[in-house]
Amino acid sequence: MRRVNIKIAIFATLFLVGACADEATQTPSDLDRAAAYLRSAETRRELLAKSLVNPENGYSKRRLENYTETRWGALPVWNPRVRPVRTTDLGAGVPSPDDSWTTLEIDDRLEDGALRELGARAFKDYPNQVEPALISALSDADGPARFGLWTEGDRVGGLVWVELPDGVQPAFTCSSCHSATTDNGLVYGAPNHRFNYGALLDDHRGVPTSAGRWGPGRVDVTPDDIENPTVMADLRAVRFQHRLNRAATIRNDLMALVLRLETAIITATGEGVRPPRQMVVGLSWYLWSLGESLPLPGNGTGRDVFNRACAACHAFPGLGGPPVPLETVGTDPTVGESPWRTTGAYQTPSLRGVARRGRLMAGGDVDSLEACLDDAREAPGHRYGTRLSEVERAALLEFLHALE
Amino acid sequence: MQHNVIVFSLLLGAMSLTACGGEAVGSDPDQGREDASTPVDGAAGQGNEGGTTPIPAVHRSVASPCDTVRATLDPMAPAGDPSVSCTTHEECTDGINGRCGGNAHDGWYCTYDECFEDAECGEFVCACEGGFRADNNICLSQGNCRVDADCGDNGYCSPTLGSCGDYFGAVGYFCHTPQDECTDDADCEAPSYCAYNTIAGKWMCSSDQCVG
Repeated sequence: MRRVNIKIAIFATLFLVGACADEATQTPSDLDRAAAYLRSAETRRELLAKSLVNPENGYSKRRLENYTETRWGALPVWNPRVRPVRTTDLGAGVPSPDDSWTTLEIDDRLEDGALRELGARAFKDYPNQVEPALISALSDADGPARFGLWTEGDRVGGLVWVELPDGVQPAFTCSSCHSATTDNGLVYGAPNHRFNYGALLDDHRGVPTSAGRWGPGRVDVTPDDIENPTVMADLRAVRFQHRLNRAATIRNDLMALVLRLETAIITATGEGVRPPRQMVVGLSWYLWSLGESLPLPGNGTGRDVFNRACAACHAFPGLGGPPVPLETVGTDPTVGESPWRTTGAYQTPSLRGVARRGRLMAGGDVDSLEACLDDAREAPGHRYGTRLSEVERAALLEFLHALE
Repeated sequence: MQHNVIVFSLLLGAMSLTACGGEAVGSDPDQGREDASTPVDGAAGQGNEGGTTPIPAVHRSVASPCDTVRATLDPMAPAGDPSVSCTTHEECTDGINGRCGGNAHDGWYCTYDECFEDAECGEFVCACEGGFRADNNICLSQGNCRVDADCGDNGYCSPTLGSCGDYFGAVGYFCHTPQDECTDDADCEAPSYCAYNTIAGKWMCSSDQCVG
């Protein structure tokens, strides 16, 4: 009965806000689709295949070859005991597990509230990538700041200690790279463009490598032998994206995001385990809900300028749009040309929340909205909005800075 | 980017040959092991903890100290390149056996020998000439064994690439067990390779991706 009521509530909400591709919210049919995903291997496979834009790139091939019941589907479900990394751990060495360490409690109800709550906990506490190099950032009190990891209360960088067969290791959660500190506290889902993962890797092994040149906010996630670090994403805007990945690799919708996250965790754990599927549904549900908090400024001069200079691609209300061919946008094509993810185009990112992003463009070549609109900037491409009058430019910047 | 797995597998093998004991390959007659070229299958393997463990192509039968001599090849560092932090070995004075070296991908920088034997590396292995794209000795940072004997009777202790792929080559030595799903890279379909999965607690065919 409760589930029915939730469905009605969601449907009513959907009706009130108006359904459109740019501002999709979870729907009753999404709950049904989530149930089918959980129940049916055939459905999972269909959803995956449907979401992949270019079946020939490495990303798609890896998944199409392995996302079967006998391969990745046969992996053990991983839900290890963890505990958050706390400020008191800094410089204190690796802790030993005790009774306070817990697995993620999986609520198996397919209801809006339960899924959001499960997803929020998974976002903050589920280890999606074990990273021994994090020890370097936890070796002293200044370590987290040295590498741009956030601290909030007693939590450090959204990191967790994980109990593994051979001991305890530190690990990232989603919130490590996808939460940012502000004067008003932590903003979940916003990119942590201060986090310098490459510097952490170099520091841990004591050698300067190409990873050290990524700089803050970027990471090279593709096994393609090409130097193509990409910008950490603003997950708050994920519901507004037409495609996922900078290279527009995935047709986006809620269930595509579920498949995206499930397979990302599988590959990030060395294809040795898989996450609980209910948790992945919850995580996607939660991320989808984050878009509700992103403001959309009202009418004014800035919005008028935006309509003329930007909205052809970054259309209201999601401020995103269909992908754009690499040669059309003209920015550095390196990320988009990765044989691992290429579709020949870049996603048109939603600008909802853009004011909280420290690096812009797929490769992070532009570090501010001001620079983006500066016709004299060195970074190539995306000249849209660079030839405005000073008054128009100021108004547009005011509008964009309100997109927090 | 995530460097070429094949290249690193070769480097891994080369490194293991010299990792505190060039006896790493299982052809040491004194150890009574089969030759490294022995095909890897269940029948060829020796028993281990009651199961059958094939003999890995690369494993560490004994730990021997690294030699104290380090090569002095011309660093061939290009002048004026911003990624060049040294051009001669003489500039590398902050540690033992400092050498300037590098490549166009990572730049040129000084490296030093961090260790000469395992005892200098806590519970982990001192990898002779195991530096990242360099020939310095380094302390590895992971592992559950240092030599085959740590893995039980007829056990094998082998080097593995780390998490998030192969950014830094081998990161530690781990025991093979009957639960392993692979023994060598040849057991895995390229581009996957055989690595110890610290999460699953066994050797498995792995990809080389970070989350993202």
